[in-house]
Amino acid sequence: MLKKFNRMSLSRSAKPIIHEWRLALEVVKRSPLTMMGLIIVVGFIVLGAIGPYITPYNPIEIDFSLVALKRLQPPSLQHPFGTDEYGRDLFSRVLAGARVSLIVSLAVMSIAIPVGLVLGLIAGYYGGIIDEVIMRITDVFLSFPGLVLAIAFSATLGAGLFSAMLALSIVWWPSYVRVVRAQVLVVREQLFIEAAKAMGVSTRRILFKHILPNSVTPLLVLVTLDFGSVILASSALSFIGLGAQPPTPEWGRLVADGRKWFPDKWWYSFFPGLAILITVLGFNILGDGLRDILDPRFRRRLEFKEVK
Amino acid sequence: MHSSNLLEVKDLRVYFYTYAGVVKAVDGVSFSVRRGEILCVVGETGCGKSVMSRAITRMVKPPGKIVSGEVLFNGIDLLKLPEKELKKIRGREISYIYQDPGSVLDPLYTAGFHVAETVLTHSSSMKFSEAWEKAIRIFREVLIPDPEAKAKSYPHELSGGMKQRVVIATAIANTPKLVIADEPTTALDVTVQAQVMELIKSLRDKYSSSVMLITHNLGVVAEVCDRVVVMYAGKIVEAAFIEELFTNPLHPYTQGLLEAVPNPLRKIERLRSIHGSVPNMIDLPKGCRFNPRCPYAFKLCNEEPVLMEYSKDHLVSCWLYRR
Amino acid sequence: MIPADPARLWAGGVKARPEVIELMKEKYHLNLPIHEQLAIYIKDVFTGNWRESPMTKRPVLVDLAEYFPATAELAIVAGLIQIALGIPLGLLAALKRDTLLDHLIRVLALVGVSAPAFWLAIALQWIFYYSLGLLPATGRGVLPSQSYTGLYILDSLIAGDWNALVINLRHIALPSLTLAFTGLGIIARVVRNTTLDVLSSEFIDFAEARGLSNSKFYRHVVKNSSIPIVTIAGLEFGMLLSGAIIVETVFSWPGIGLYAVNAINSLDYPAIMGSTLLISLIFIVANFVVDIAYAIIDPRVRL
Repeated sequence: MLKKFNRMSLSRSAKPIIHEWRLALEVVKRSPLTMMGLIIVVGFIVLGAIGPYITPYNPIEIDFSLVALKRLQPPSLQHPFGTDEYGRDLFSRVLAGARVSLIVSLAVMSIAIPVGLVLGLIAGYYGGIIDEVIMRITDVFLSFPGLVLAIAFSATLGAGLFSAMLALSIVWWPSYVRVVRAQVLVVREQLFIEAAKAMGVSTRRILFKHILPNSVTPLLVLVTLDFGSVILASSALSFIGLGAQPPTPEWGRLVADGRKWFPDKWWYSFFPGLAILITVLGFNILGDGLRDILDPRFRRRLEFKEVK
Repeated sequence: MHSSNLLEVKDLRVYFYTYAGVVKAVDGVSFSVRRGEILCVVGETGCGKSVMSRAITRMVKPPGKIVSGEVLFNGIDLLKLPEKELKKIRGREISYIYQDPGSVLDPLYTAGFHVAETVLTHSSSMKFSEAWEKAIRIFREVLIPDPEAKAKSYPHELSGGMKQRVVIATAIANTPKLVIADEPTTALDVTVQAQVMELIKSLRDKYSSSVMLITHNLGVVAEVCDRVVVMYAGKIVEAAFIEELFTNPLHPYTQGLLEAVPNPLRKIERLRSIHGSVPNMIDLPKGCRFNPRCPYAFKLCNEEPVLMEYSKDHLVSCWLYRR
Repeated sequence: MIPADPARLWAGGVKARPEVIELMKEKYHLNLPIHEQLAIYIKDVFTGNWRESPMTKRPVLVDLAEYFPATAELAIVAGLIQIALGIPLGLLAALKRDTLLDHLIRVLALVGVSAPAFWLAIALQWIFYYSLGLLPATGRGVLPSQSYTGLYILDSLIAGDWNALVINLRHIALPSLTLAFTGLGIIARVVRNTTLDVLSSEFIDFAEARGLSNSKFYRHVVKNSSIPIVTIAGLEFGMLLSGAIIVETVFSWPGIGLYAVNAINSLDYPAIMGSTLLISLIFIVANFVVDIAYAIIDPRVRL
């Protein structure tokens, strides 16, 4: 008989989330800016996924026979972003760079999010000394500025994309712990958790089936915005020499390489940097839009027209 | 028109313009407040009573708009007064008491400061120290214990009841003629409620101010009011003196309200609730707004009724009482 | 991924003699396991021994002291720009809510947060130096006739050295603007949102109901708004330091950031650690100052 009770769904997770998303879509449709952000982000993901397959030229290989002829050409129909000092098409390199950025941010997130989630859940749910310990460690990390810490770790681990990813993951998980823990503190006081406990539902089940789904929403906004921040940070790392190494066409790396030929061959640094700007802008706009959607006050405001 | 009318509201309309449609929150409300009386405005949440109370001093913000009507305060139409003059009336002639004292006091300023500030705003030559002294005096009058210390306290250091007394103190600081109290006791404990109600009664008895008390709690109404105005869906459905209303409620809505409240003196088997729910304020039914829920509805109810005089000082808006 | 042999690099690179390499290894404890190295380093830091840079052959602390004023000057000017532009823009956006101006300011803030600083720096160089020839692209300017604080602009002012003042101002223009750009956007946005929040709060409503005059009314608005604004201004100042690393590199501004980047490229670990530590320390202090300011303004926070 107890088994039957355990299968009862106590949490409000399933149905209201669907309702929320339908509402969210409505709101997004009404806000052209958020729409644009969504398009940019989706575009970035798509390009990141299929980029290397649709590049007009090979982004990595150097055709030594053509170098002298093709090096450092300004933008043209053939080469919309110009060419680099090895004659490689910069448009293809920038396109390929999308995949690099995508992989880096995905990698960082796939480490930082689970770690942050688990630690935040545990700290928030159990409280007491476990909470104290976790929060103190988190605070230590948070008391250092992110980029500086990333540079320090990256330099110690050695140059290269892999160490950059590792360094960024280390820098990023603490902020997630805080956010998740705050949300858990709110959720665990709610009545349906008490009910679950009273019915003898196991702690692990409570944590994963009830608290977790309800604590995720603020994390969503943060993650979206952070995708952009990670791309900025990793490109900064690549710019100063840590992070991506040649011939990897990482955007920050490309901007750094282009500095050698500055200002005459301006296109070299310009387009990769522009790519960073647009991509990060997309994530920021989308993140902002998401935050507005999830804020009930804003939604009410949206319903009212302005009357002068 | 009686000269004993301190405030006369005539056909006030306040509409809210939303993407979903126009919400006619206050749709043609007329009533008056006499000198030295406590008038209660009763109605369910959403009937427009709060909006109406704020419209009186033109404190309606977009997307709400005061569409038409007159608000005569001592004969002057407040809706047509320039902002500068209106500011002189707010806080001095007409003051407000809000529902949640916790959110109404600025957390960064002391309790005494709020009162002193209100006093200074409406005096031309007073010094801050004088205003502070006055604040302490008023704290004593509203029965705040240890007023000197409490005046220096910040809102988060005070209890709910204490905070509401501070709010009341700011309201009476300049001896206003009219105090508009919007659900002043709803957020408070029952014991504190009683004390605050005593304070409100003293506003009328000691200071000869009139009070417009907005509430949905009939117990409060019975305790304190001289006259009652019943609102439903943006309109006034009945207005009468308190005894008259309780002994002879005319409008079916009023009857329903009274039957839904337990009466310790009468033995009733069960409380009757009013069938149905408050109408959607955008898609209002044609005719009488209470029609869908009214047990006595008949053919005429498809036309919108007018507020008529049933007997002296007893007005009702219902076709049941047509002459 | 394994770091190239730093000792070899410090000893002179490819031409290094084995004995010198061994000397380097001894000196910097490179032969010890990593946790021992860390322990020794932490002990050294707290006793004031921040090691010697193998590249400059000087104590790291001396290096840092020499490069610090340049970064300080840059950060201060950028911080001032952030506040002087960010707060008015945010207020404007709040008061003219939902108008074209509001949207423009919000877009500007978004771009500020999304643009990579190194790219912006290069773009500004291209516009103002290579194209228009208005402002210098690199360097810090000239030493004023008298040196008091190490901050060239301040010293020029005090010494009355107007020539130097103009030159130094021109040199700091682009770097400080680049550095300020991101934080400016953030501050403007926070100011806007805070102001709007406060304006729609109940106690402001109550202030209006009491008929408060404009000056008294806005006193409430300003004081309540100042809490998040002070917080974000302090935070952004801390962030300026990490941004300085990038900006100094592009503009060849001789500050700690440039020092750190050079150290990275030459695997100068003591220098890297030293600069990182210094920047972090300043960041921590800035946060601490913000906490104190917070407690001063908000009575609910005081113990």
